[in-house]
Amino acid sequence: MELERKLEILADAAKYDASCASSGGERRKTSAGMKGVGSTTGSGICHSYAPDGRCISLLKILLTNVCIFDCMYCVNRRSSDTPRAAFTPEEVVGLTLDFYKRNYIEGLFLSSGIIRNPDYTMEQLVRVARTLRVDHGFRGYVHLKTIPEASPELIEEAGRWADRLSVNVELPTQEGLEKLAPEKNLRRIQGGMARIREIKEDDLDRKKKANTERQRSQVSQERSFAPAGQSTQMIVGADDANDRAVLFRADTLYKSYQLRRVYYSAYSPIPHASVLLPPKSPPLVRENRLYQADWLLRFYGFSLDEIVPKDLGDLPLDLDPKSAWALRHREFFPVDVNTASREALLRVPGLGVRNAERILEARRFGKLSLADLRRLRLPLAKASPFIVAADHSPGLVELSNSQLRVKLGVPAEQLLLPLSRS
Amino acid sequence: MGGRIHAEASNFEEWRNVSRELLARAALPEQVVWNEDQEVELNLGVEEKSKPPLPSSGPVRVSDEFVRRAKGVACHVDLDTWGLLYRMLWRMTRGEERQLLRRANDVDVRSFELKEKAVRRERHKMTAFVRFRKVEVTGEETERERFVAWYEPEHDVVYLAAPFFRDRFSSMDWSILTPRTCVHWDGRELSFSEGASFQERPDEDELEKYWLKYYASTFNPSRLNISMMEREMPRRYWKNLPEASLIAELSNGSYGRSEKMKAELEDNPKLQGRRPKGAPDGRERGVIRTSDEIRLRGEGLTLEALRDQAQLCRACPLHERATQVVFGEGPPEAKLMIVGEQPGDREDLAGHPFVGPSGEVLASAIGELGIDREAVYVTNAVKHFKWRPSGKIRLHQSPAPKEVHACKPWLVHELEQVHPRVVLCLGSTAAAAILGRPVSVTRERGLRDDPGLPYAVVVSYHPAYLLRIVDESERLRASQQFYADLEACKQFIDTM
Repeated sequence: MELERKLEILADAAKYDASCASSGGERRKTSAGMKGVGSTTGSGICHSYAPDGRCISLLKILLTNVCIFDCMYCVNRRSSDTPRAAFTPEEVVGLTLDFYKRNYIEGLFLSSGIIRNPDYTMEQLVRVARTLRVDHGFRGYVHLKTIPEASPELIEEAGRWADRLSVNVELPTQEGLEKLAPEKNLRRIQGGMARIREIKEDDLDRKKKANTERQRSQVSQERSFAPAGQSTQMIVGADDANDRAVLFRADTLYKSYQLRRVYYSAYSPIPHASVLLPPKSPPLVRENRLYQADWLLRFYGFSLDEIVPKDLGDLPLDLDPKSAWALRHREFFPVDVNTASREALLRVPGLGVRNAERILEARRFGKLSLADLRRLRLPLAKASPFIVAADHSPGLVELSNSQLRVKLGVPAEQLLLPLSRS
Repeated sequence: MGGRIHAEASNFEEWRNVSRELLARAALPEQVVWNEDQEVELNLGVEEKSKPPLPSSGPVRVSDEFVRRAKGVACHVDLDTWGLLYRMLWRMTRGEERQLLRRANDVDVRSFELKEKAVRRERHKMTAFVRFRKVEVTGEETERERFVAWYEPEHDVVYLAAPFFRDRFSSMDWSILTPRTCVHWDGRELSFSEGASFQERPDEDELEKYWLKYYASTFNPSRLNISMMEREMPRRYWKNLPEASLIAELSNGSYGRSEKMKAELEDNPKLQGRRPKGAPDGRERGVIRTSDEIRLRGEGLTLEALRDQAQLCRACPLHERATQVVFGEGPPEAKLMIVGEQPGDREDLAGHPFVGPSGEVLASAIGELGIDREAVYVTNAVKHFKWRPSGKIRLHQSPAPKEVHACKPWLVHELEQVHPRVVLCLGSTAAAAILGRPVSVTRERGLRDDPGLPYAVVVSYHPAYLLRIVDESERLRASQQFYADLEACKQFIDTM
């Protein structure tokens, strides 16, 4: 099979993985006179964008899409009729270097269908990464998919060569996996993540404990284990798990295994899908709401119960989760931008982490008025009903929730009551 | 107001030199007209001859931060940039507004930040969207590959972006040609030259066909979102991006349509449900949902079998947030059974009891007292880690009585299999689980003589408690008691 055709099949097969991040790793560069090629800046670069709006940062491909698993949501499941192909490790290495030298990509994101058994497959992935690093002095970004059933030695070696490892949990509950992905198991998946966290922490510990000069110079030359940490992906809308279940799993994984990112990927209907799967995608806005909620969990000091109360189950689609919380908690507002704490500012709809910090800094020089806030480029249309400034108070006319919803950007037609059916 | 003063600058260094002079002459920002010949002749008014320089009031000092950031802003193409930078310089020095940059709500600072952001973005886009083409090196014998790119940035960011390309591609020879400035790397140093023209751009690179194939294949047509793409990759960049030639076909669905039509085959149902050799089974068979089930299913099982069964336990909700059951470990003929409260963060990851900080305390005590490790079985009253989130980490939470109760049958099975002579309870949770009543460790420490149990019971502190005591003498006293309690257990191992 021609290389071009393989690339077509194996890029197509890999595109359902949402992650394309190349950030969060260590900084490396290729200084004058060094062999090899590549650098990482720590913040990642999107080298292109596809018409689906998604960033293209890495060469994201499968080593092969032949797979002995039968995950129903996956186009590469063993019972699917999709055309199959396999790269040789050398072909992947060559494409990565050729693309990289032309500044198309930040590096490689390599995953694979499971061939023969988990260890054999993991060995192939590790081989590609090792060849890039050792034989070609490649200093660009490498993300390897990790198979939780693979032996700990292989996971450890994968992390030696890769910047990031990821184990995909795919669905938030064991029940969901049993229904749609009978070879996958939540405990084994979490066990894999636990192992990655353990190895990474042991690695850091060892470096910290290096006392003597010689030990220090030795560890500084060693590669760190997965310096960009680990991430995972959950498919949303393939099973009937609600947003609370999705975020409960995400919250658990973040805290238990120190994940850098959980990616949420709205299920895309695939050809010849099982009858157990929905015929169409969930609204893409659901994915968006989950990312917003994820941010609130990690950077805004919200708890899971605040974002999705037990009795709600799903995030509202017509309103971002912070605004939805604000409407449920009118007693918290208004927040005075001239006196409020960082934590309180972060709870105002429309205000981000950076906005809050700008307010804290600017108010040291005098009381902030609405004009000041405008110059700080705050989204006032959204925030003004919830804040007090030197010349502004929203309390004079009590705004009704329905008016607030309009201010928060809910399209007016969604406010109409459904026609009575009787 | 004084007369107008004309000033010229085309890059940061020139601006800096001119501005030093202007400051020394105490030229007010509103007097200075920058690069007048490029500006529309408007409201400049009657020109006066500039006044003789005023005495300088000492050297100009501004923060390094301003210099660093102004260098970036100076790449902005807008004509008012030099005037803005001079006005801010004036305000920070002569105007005594040293903290000006901190005032994000100031009009000048806002304008500075917007320009800075635009330049930073343009620099970033340059690192993203430059596309090298490989060119043949003729003449000299060299192993180095040569690459050339043609690029058209909106702002003059070549100087800002050049170090990025040097640090990444130092083992190749390359040039980036732009209309204002070109940069070249020969393996030793960066050099800059005058702008180039479009005609000098490199010829096509045959590898681009793979890149285009990749671009088309990684695109997911069911998520078409042109506006998002255009926000991050505006149209003005498209003409120098080879892959952009595919955007129209990909967006309207005409790309590769004929090929896709014929690929309509059927699934192979024979392959469904039949697990090939090598594929693991992910299903949980025989999940345990109640304490009664633990009691019945564990009856008469060996420790090994119990350990396997326990992984399927969902008799309380703790399994939902834990990695795994951490079952007891040690030989079935152990004479001493040590019971802790529950696994902690490290134990949950590793799947073994007492491997965290508490485990270290326990292990060193056992070692110092010369207790035979082979004679000890260690376990916990509750087998899943209970925690609550605190920032980015998991914080230990004491199990509730109902969780201890739900888990207890596992402990009972362990006791039946191990038949210890003595059970050491570490902490009140363990003591309550063994003695079947609430226990205060401080009041009931040491050997208990509760009747009716086929083994002796010793109650002591949990090692985590010892680690928490701040007061030195208090910690020493508690440690001594802890060692004494272990010593008491040792009697049972040694004498019988």
